[in-house]
Amino acid sequence: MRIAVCMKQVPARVQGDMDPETGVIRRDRLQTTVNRYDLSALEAALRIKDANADCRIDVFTMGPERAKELLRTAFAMGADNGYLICDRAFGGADVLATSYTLHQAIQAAGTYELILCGRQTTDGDTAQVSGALAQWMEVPHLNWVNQILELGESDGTVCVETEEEKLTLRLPMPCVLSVEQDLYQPRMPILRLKMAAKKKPITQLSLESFDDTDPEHYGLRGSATRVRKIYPPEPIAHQPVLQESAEAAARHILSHWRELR
Amino acid sequence: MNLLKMSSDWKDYLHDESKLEGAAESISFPKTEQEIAEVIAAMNETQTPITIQGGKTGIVGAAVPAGGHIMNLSEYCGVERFEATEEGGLLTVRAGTRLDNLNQEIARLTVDRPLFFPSQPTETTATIGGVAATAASGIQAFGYGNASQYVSAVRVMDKNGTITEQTGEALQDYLGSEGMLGVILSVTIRLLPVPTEQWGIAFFFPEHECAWKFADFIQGTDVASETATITVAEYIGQAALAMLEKRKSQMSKLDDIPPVPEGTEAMIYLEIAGEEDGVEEIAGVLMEAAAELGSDPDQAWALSGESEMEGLRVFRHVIPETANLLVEENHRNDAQITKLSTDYGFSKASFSQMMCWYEEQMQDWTTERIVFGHIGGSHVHWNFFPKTAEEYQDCLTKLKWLAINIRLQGGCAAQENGFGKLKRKWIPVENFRMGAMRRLKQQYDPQCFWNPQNYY
Repeated sequence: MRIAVCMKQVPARVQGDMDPETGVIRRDRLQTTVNRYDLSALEAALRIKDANADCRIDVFTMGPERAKELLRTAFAMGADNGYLICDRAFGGADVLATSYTLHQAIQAAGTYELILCGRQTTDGDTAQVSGALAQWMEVPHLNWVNQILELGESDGTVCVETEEEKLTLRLPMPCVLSVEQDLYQPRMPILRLKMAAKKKPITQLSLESFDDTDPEHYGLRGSATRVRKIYPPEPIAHQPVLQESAEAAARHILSHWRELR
Repeated sequence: MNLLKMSSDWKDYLHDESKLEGAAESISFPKTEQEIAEVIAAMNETQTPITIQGGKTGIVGAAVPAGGHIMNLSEYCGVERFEATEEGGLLTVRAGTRLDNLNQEIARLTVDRPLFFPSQPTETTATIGGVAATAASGIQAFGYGNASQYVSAVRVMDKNGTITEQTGEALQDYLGSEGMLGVILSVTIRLLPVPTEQWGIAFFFPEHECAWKFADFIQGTDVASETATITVAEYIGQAALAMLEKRKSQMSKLDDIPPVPEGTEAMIYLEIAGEEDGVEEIAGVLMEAAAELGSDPDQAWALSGESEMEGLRVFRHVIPETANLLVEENHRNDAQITKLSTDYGFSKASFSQMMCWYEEQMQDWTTERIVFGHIGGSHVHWNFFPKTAEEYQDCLTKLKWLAINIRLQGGCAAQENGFGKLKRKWIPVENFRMGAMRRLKQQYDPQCFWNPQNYY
């Protein structure tokens, strides 16, 4: 089985610079980390591989040269191959352009039975890329999968928990799933694999690697939306913690509420 | 100036992480130098002693008031001046600046050439004034040395409101003085360039004796590269790991940390910094040495880069934090119970010699305890958790006995946590540093206006 995992390098902290003209985060000036939701997607893939030695995991990441760090982390966790999708033409992409670029990259790399994404990124927070990717690929999609229960030759069974119910769903493969974190706590990168990771080749994919080489379909130019402003939420001022009995605490809340009114 | 009469609203300011309970008549939270001067003048007039507080993260009670006034500097914070230098930078910050805010400011000011402050205790809510006042060092001391090396000046206000900048030898009087000589207004710290490459590695050992031998290996000179160095070397014993695992579900900051491998008796956490090739060279040497001592390289965690390593640093930091929570629980059951932990450094003995010695001394001790700490200087922190007043008194006697023996063997009885008001319960009064502090106190503050009852 071949599994593609889509991962993203994101700013490590909320503070950051934004290009005032494009509304795009200036990533070259920020400390980065791996999007933690994507680590759970990789963990889900690794668990499938743990149970099936023939499984191969390819990680795709879109970003500048330094996004190779992410691929080396993925190698240190157990991924087999890494693809860096890197081209100036891809810069400033929104959900539409990002999902299309990923689709082109995955198509250029081969065929996959399963494509896994994290539930969202910590910078964009849209949680829409996996669905858009499935649309481009014309395969079934499920968002926020809690557990991958079983994978067969042509279909898979997964568990999705909603607020009201717990669903067990079967869907044909290939398919795209976005994975929840709860049951897929990512493993730590392992020293032996990390030592070997530097020597592992990384395949670089640029616009020229794709079937569709029209730059109008990628990056800022291929995006349907424009970001006007990105800013971190206002920090919440420190509030005192009260340790009281239930009754005293209720009285305190009530009096505070009355003051606010 | 806003002098607040003590009331139940301010009861949290009567203790720190030592769990010693203090008393005070009033408290203030000055925001400016002018307000600090006004508070001092008012207290000087009535001869009311002042206890200076920062983040209240200390574990020896130095910021716990012994009557008089509490001047809490947590609102006197922010950057005053930054200057880029050839070797890095000089940053002057107000004493109440918390370390987490300090690090954010450093990142903001040094975007084009990232710098960092190498001497930080693990508690990020500590203030820079507190770091200077206690000469705290933290886990990076293994590679970078202690805080004194990175503080180049402090501005101090005395009881008459006179401000002086202290550098050179006079500066050394103030570092580690625990606020007993005057109030530190601002601290100028040296910043160094962030290394190109940084790795954090956690080795797990199924037998603690093997971990001790690995620590000896790290203390030796065999692990070196021309372009990289080990900057952090920490030991965590089995009981500390078990305590952490037990409480993990209550700590969301450990959500990203998986359980340590089953059967682990000890963990050694290392950080390596420098050029990429040098870091990898050292990592390779360590991997081989650890494997020979039974640590499986397929189970050793390895992370790189500041943000990824943050998780492992948090893991290390949560140990003393969890220990403090346990002390808090025991303290609630019996108010006499306080933090009881060792801070003994012993650079003349290897890590395994030191640990064997401790094990021999403690073989009949029944009080619940954990051990973690620095491999450099064989400076581990034993934390004891007595549950009753009787057990607490017994622990004090034993700690005193340990302190005397450490001193007789040429070790240091109080390495980095300071003396505060707690350690005099078990550190012998003839301690060399206490004597030196008495002389300084006589010179700077003979009327005991500042931080009464610290040290002695």
